[in-house]
Amino acid sequence: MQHIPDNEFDRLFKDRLMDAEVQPANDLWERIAPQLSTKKKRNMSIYWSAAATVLIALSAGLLFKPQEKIALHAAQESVPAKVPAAAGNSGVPAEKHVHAKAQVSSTALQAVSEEQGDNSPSPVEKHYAASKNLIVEEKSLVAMQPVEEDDHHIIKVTEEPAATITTEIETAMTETALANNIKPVNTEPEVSEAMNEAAEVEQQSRPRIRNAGDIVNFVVDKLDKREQKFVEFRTDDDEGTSLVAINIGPLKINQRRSR
Amino acid sequence: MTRTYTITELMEGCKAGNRKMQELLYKQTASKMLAVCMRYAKDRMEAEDSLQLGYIKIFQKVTEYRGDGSFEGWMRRIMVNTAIESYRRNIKSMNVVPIDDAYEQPATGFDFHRLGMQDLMKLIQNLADGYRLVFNMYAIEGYSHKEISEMLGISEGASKSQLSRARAILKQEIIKMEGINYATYTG
Repeated sequence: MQHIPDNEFDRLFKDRLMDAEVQPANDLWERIAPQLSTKKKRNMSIYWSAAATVLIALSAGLLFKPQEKIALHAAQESVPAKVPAAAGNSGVPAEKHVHAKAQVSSTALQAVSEEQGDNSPSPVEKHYAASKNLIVEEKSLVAMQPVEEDDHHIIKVTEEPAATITTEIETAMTETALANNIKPVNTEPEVSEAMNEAAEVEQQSRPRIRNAGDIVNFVVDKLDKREQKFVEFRTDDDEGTSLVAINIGPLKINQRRSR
Repeated sequence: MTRTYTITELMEGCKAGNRKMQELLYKQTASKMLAVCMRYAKDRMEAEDSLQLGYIKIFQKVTEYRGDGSFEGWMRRIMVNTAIESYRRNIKSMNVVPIDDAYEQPATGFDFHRLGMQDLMKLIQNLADGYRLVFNMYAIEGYSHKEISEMLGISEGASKSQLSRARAILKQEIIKMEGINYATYTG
């Protein structure tokens, strides 16, 4: 074999090595297999957690759109009355009441409506509702007056309905008072005392789910029993959507740890 | 009783993440793939490490195989790329190759046909890393110098000069081997 050209030389190697076979060690597959399983499973679980979190957050966000927050101390700060639930029983068309921008505490109305919807409220709540009605009565007098800016002509048109509201509320109040065997309370100190008491009780007995963040926290709490959940929202602010903690395996974020 | 699967069936099973099919694909192809790894490695241990990495990569990437070219060819390319990656990770060992007086050796007087596959494998493994890679990629895998220069991150000129040095060293080694063989024949 004399002076072999490069391409022939290469070819000799290629011919013998291209389809060569070398038996690997017997246990080599046993070394490969575990590396496959762990990698795959771990990746999957991370993806599933992430997907589940997004799904939960989205659906909760859709179901519980930001609602007007019910202020527990709203007796002092008046808001325009929405459709009073109390009017529902009266037989008077609801639209009229909508126009009446009576300055009625919405909390008070809420309380009345709860009173009517609930068959067995706690005594304190009943008391609370009854006392609230007094406020309503007082406030509804204010409602007769023209209220600020551009509400003027609406007020004129709806003075009568506003008066009806007062009547409605009075009726509701009397009903409630009768039902509860509690006499209307007239003096200011008692009212506020009862209110404070009621507010406290309510704060404790109300379900703690108020917004989307609460929903997510609740679901996560059921699924993830660790102390640091894989996702946690702060829910004591108005939006209830501030993400404070994430714990997905290697990824840990925690903005706050005092609960 | 073992049903034999075609490589396409095994490939489909692997795409579905079927563990049994992964194992069968390994069993059916490992010896060929190890031969590929051996050519790119210094020794058997390094080759088996690279075989492991290569199979893990094959199972991870099998869904990306689109059916252009044979599946076995695709697997080989994964093995080669794995070898190249580990070479590039240890690139520091390159360029410190002692260049023998390989060029001056006459390329005559050896009988190739006496050399078996294992001999040739041994010869390639004994090359310095850079030479080994370039020779394998050019002579056996059939890459062009342009492709090699891109894959290894070297210039085309470097690829060419490393190839010719690799050939020269191999020829020299073969002559040495032949001499020993001849000696054992006669002696």
